Amino acid sequence: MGVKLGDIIPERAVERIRLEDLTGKAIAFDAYNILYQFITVIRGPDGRPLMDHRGRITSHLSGMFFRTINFLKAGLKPIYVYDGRPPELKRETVERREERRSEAAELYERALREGRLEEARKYAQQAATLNQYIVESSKRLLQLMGIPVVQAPSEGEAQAAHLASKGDAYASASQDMDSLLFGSPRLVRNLSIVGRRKLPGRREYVEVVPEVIYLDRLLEELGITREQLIDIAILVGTDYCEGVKGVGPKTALKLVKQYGSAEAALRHLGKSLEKSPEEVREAFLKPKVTDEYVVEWREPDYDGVKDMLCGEHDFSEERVEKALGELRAAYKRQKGVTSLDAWL
Amino acid sequence: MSFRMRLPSADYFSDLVKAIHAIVDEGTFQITSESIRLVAMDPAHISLVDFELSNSAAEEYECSGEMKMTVSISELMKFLKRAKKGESLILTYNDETKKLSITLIDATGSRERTFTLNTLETVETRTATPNLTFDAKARVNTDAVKDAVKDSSLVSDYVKITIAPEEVIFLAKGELGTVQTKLTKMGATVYDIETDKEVWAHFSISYLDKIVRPASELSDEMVMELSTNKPIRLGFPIPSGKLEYLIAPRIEGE
Repeated sequence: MGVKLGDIIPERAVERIRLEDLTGKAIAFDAYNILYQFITVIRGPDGRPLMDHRGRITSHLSGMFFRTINFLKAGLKPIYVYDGRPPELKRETVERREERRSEAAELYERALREGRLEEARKYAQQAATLNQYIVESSKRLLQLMGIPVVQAPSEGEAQAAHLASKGDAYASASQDMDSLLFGSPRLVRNLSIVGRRKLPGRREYVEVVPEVIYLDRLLEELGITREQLIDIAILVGTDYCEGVKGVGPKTALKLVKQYGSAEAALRHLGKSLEKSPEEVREAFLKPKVTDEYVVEWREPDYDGVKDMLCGEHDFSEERVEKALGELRAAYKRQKGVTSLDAWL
Repeated sequence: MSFRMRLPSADYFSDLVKAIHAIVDEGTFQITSESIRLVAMDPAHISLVDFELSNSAAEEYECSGEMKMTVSISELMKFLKRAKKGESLILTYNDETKKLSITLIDATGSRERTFTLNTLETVETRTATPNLTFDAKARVNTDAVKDAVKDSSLVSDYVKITIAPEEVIFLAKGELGTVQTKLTKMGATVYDIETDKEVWAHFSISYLDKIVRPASELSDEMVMELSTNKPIRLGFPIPSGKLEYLIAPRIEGE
C-alpha cells in the first residue's frame, strides 16, 4: 500500500534515530497503518488472531496498548490520526483490496481445514481487514489512555501531514511514504516495529531501526520540487491511480527531471494513465483536511483501561497491571516536559 | 583552507570535549581566525551546549578562512581518551580532505602520536539559540550542585531549583520521600546571588547530572541563571573560552 519510492530516497535525507531522540515530541501516527500491522502480525502460528471468550479480535488492542506505553516510556507524545471516508479517486483501489481480502479469506479457511498451517497464517494476514469494531474499540482504548485521537475527514496520512506541517506534531509516522507527498516536513518510519522485522514469507529477520526522512533534504538532494515528487509517484503508481507498467522510481525520477512533469513524461513515452495526472496531483497537494481537532494528552483512566482489557476482553490482569504501572510512571514523568524550541 | 591549533594540555581538551559529549553525539565546529565554536542541541531539544575556545587559549593558532567541521563527538572522544597527563595536543583540519588530525606529544617531545579522523558531512541546520532574559543569577560551587543533583536523584527524576535573594534551594519530591539542599549566600558554596525576587523552575535530573558531572572537572564554580518556569542557563567559566548550557524546564500543570 502507498507509493513505493524507496529506491530513490537519498541517504542524506534519512537519519537513523533512537526512540529516545523523540523525547518530548508529538508524533502523528497514521492509525490505520498501525492497526493493520497489529492485526496482521499479532497472530498465532495457524494465523488465528488473538481473541476474547466471545470471539472478538483483540490483536489490535494488545498492540495499541503495549506499543503506546513503550512510546510514552521513551517520552514520545503519540497522536493517532484515523482515516475518514476514502476519496472518490481511491475507490477502485479500495474495491480491489476488498476482493483480494475475500479471496485470501477463502484460501485461509481451506488451508486451515487441510492443516497447512504456515500457508494458513500467510493467507490470514492477507485477509486481515479493519472493521468498525476494530476501529472503534482501538479509539476507545486510546481515549481511556488519555491519548489524543484525531478524526480525519478523508485520508489519515493527509491529516497527519497537516498536523506536522502546522507544527502541532513534530513529524508524521507511517510505514507508507504518502505523507511526504501530502507535504509532511518529517516522516518517521519503523516506530511501531522497533527491533526486527520478519521478511515476508520467510523465516528471516532484518534489523529495523527508527528513521526520519526530511522532506526538504529529500527534495534538495534530488533537485526536484514537491510537485515533481508527486509526479514521480504518479508515474510509479499510487493508491489513486495505477502507474506506467515497467516504470520504477529510478526511471520516473529521470523522466520527471528530464521532462519536467508527469504529463510531459507520459507524452514522451506515448502512454496515458486512467486518470489525469492533474487530478491525482491535486489530491496530494490539496487533500481534504480539517483544523477541528484537539491535541491534548490527559491523565489516563487507569481503572477504565483495566475494565476494558481485563473485564471485557480477557487480558491477563497481571500483565495489564504491570503495564499500567509503567503508564502511570510515564505519564507523571511526561507531564509538563518542554523543549527549548518553545523559547526560540 | 586549513586550520591548526596547538594546545598545552591534551587532557584538558579531552575534558572539554567530554562536556560537549554530554549533549551531542555529533556536532559542527565553526572555525574562524578568532576561535572554534560549537552550538548544538540534543536530539530532543531539551538542552543546548554553547562552547567556544578562543585563539588565546592556544600556543599556536592558524586559520586560513572560515570553515565548518562536523565530527562524531563519540569517535573524537575515543582518540582523546588515549591522551596521557602532560601531553600537549595539535589539532589540524584540512577543508579539502575533510580529515581532522589529532597529534599527542609527550612532555619531552620524544614521542608524537597522530590519529586521523574522517569528519562527517555538514548538514546545514541553523542552531537557533533561544532568546532569554534571566531574573536571577547565582554563582555557586560546582561540587555542591553536583551533590545536590545526585541527592535529588534518590527520590525523583525532577528537581525544583529556586534562586532567592539569600539562598539557592534544590527540592526533589517523590513517592519515597523528599530531598532538599539549601545553599546559603555567603557560605562556602554560594559566592554571589543577584536577584531581588524568588524564581524557580523544575528540571530533569538526568540532564542536570549529565551536564554538571563532566563540567565539574573543568570549573570549581558555576553560574546559574533562572527565571520562573523558563530554561536555566548553566555557565562554567573556562580560561579563554565559554562553556554554557541551557535546559528546558518541566512546567507543572495544576
